Amino acid sequence: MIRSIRARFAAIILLAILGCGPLWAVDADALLAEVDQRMQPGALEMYRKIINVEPDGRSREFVLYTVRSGADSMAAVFLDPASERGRSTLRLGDNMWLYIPDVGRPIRITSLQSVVGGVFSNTDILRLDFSVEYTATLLEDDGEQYVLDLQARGPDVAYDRLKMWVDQQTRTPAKIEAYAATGLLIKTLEYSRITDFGDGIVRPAMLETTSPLQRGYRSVMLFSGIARRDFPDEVFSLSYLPRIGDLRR
Amino acid sequence: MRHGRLGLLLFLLPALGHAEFEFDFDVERYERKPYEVSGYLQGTFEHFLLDRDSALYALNFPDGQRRDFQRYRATGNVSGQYRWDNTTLNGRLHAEWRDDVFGSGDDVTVQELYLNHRSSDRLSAEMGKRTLRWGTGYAWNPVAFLERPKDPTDPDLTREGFVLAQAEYVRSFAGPLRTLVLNPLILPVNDDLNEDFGADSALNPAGRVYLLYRDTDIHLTARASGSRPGALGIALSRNLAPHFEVHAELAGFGRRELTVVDDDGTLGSRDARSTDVLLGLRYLTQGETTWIAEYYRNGAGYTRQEIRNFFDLARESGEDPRAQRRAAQARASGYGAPQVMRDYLYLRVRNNEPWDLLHWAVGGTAIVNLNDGSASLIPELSYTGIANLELRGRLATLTGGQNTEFGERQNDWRLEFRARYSF
Repeated sequence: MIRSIRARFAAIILLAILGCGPLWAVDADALLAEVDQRMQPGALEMYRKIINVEPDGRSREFVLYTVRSGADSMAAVFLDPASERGRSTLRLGDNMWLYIPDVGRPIRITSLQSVVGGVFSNTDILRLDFSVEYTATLLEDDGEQYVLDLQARGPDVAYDRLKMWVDQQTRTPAKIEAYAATGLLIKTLEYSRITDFGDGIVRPAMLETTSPLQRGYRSVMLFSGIARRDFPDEVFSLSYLPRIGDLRR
Repeated sequence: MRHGRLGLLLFLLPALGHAEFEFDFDVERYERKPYEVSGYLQGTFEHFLLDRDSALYALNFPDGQRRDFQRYRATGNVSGQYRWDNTTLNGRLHAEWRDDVFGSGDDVTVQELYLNHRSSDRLSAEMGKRTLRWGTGYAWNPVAFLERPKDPTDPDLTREGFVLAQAEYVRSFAGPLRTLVLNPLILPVNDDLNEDFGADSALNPAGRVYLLYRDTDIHLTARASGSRPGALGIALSRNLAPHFEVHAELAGFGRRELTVVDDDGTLGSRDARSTDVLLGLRYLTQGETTWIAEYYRNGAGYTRQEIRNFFDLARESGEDPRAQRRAAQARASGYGAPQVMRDYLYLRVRNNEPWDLLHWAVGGTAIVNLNDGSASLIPELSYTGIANLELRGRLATLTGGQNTEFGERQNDWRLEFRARYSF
């Protein structure tokens, strides 16, 4: 009887502690999954414009149409500029391929390469859900933002560690710092322009990237036309790469 | 007053810089249209410095007078697509005008023209002239049984296809086998169709099975015996790390007759039943330099004695017209193909924006004949700083002693400038 009362008392104390501290209240992995859901809600299509701003002030633009399904399937095709038109990329988990119309054959590429130059790597362009690649720990809660420490789940992930600032109101990232395994800061990504794309999709429409390794460069990604849309699994295969552009409406 | 305007300008500059980032993104521009047209226009200038002691110089320049020459080429390549419902009509037209010491000429080729019909997400069929691309190798593809030869010094160039009919069935799965593609086809040959694929009329059934199994690309390819001997192949590719890819191809060919030059300079033939091998890797360094290395074993390639006999015959060309005819016939029958001997090493290195030079890329390609030590070395420089325009310069040098493959080619080096405008 006494043991039972003690157990209940201990449980009440524990619940009180969990209830009082916000840091204790937040499940970091669940928060990361929610961030993923808000940034890329399930199967969707979207258009992206990438602008590489160069140290001399000139800029170069690329436009991509992207389709996504499930947690690890994504494909994109370049619509502009003319010199890149028809180039397609496919990501299935850790596998990435590039299809060049003249070559006519998909070749495997590495996630650290960049098909567009500038600061964005292939990983940034064909980004999977963060929670697929990282485990999260809550570092800080200042009342407006959560700060998450994301550790790569395996060696095949392009960035070993991410530090992510999450806006508490929209549950979307405001800023991400990407680090190598050595602790070196590789790049900083900043999200802005929270936009309602319709169908319950509210997320940033702009991503700006800088890197201490590429001083003077700046890359910006604009998001548009994000819409929920289901695709058959067969769309995410090497055979379909030359026809990704045909999925546009 | 002038200072005032300058001050105002300096005050506004940051704002102007900021205005640059008020991007508009007109998505409606990118809605799908029923048709699409794209392509490029290209101009090429080449200067050849000839090797007057080489065997192929003797064959090409029997009078022995010329030291060098220039070649000018203008190329247009246009691709188009028209869609209606689940059917698309695709075409690619290649036009080239050329002028050099051998004369002027132009040529228009329909590289591709085919209909594609999708009856479901999984099943589609195609008919017409189509360029296939089988295999995982970059410079060579032993398992590409239905393609025209690739130029390893410029593997990304477009190539002409063959007239064929094919079906494709794609299926995705959730387990370790992620994707399955079945691709049966026929490539008919007769007097009017695909006559350069082989001399004998035949339907030439062939096929490919592609699997993405445990993160590995697996291609199984086959060609039934017909206008060319039967062949079986397997190609593999896998990323061992985010910056490191490995690939391999293995192809076995049925018996075929190979034209050879005998010791006495006459043309004969020998039976060849070969196995070709390709081993390769692609590696990206932290400094953003891409390395591609490949070893290629051409199982039916000529021996050092067989190639020496051909070079001896070619050297006789200047003095004996009959020898010249035989040498030209030998070249057309097999000796003129790229990489005609047995073992080769390919190395390509490319670094974008070296030394922080915006829009510049520097690189080089080496093809080494491991049987005789001769090599082709091609350093290159390219610039893409103007929208849709690529400028490329290459110096192709050949090294090797007497009776070696690259040492006996007609030129010592070739300087090339190319400008390509994409639209």
